[in-house]
Amino acid sequence: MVVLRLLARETVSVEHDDRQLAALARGGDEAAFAALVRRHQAGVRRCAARILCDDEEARDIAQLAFVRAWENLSKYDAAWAFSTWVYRIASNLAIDVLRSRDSRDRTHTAHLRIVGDSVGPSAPQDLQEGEVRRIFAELAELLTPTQRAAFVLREVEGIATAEVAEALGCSEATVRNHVFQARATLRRELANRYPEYLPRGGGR
Amino acid sequence: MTSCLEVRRLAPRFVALELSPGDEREFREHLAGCAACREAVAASEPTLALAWRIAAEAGPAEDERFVSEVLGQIHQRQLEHRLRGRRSWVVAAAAAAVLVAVLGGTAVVRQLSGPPATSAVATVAATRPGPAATEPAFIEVEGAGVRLYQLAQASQSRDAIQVAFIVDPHLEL
Repeated sequence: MVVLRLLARETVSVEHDDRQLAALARGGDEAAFAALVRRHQAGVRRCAARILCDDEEARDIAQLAFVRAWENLSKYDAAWAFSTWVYRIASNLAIDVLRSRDSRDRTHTAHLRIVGDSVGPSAPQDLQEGEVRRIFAELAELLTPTQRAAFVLREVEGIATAEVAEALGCSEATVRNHVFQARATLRRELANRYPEYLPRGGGR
Repeated sequence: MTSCLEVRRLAPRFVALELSPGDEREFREHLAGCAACREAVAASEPTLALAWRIAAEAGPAEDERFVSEVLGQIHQRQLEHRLRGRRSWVVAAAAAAVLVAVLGGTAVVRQLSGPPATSAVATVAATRPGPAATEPAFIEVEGAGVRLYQLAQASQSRDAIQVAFIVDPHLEL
């Protein structure tokens, strides 16, 4: 059964706590900042890994995102959740990586890192752990970096459109546009390359 | 909890990304526990099924080493920043020291770079370098981290001044 990881995001009280920690960190309190890193590292790493399709590179990007956050705490706008702000930094760093990446070589490397001795799509009714990531890594190469980030943040992570817009520095309408374009490309390529994985009645 | 009927009614707006955050949260909570509705929604937008399968895969676990590595990088960058500041200070102080050494006597060296609030005042005892100067002149600069500068006559040329930078090995950088 597919277990959905659905917007199980911070509660209001946790957000308040984050803001208090961020205020302490802004005053130079490293312990407070360490608590923020501890709390959000898994989400930021997971998100970066899904955008980049590369776990090791995602770890580096996530670390850099937190370092940049520390160095720019004075610019943090507490109107937004601290996590949104770090997601923004990490997403933009990941997009920069995608733009500078030699796509052909990097895709090949990413596949090796993610799936190891992966087999082909031989189990159409039940995608195996890792196999879905291999397929997404392959298809995501056809998306622009921003489409890819928008799809991951909005559709995979389930982050609200307004927060994604803040993270990507664009309007909500632009986020929707990126997501729709990403969906169209993925839908077409799924139908072309992996029609056995389309849901019954899907593939419009 | 949103009913199946309500979810089916809201599905087109969910797919069109038009639900409010609150409605979407309830919608997704229902989908998480209702395979039939998930299937119905995915039938209208197959990439959602792909997204949900990616979301269902385990992400990285909490890792305390990650936290310490982040803090380590922060300390490293702070150190590099401070060293850059000190290097520029040393260059400025050295330039001043050379000038003082040429003029001789007691002088006050003012920090030429760095924050004005921390401009250092140092008592400088220097002698004009010459053949009789068997001991090199010392200029001690206080409050700047760099502890000592040593001015010495160049071995062969009477006109050249050799400047040695001696940094206290116990200096905490």
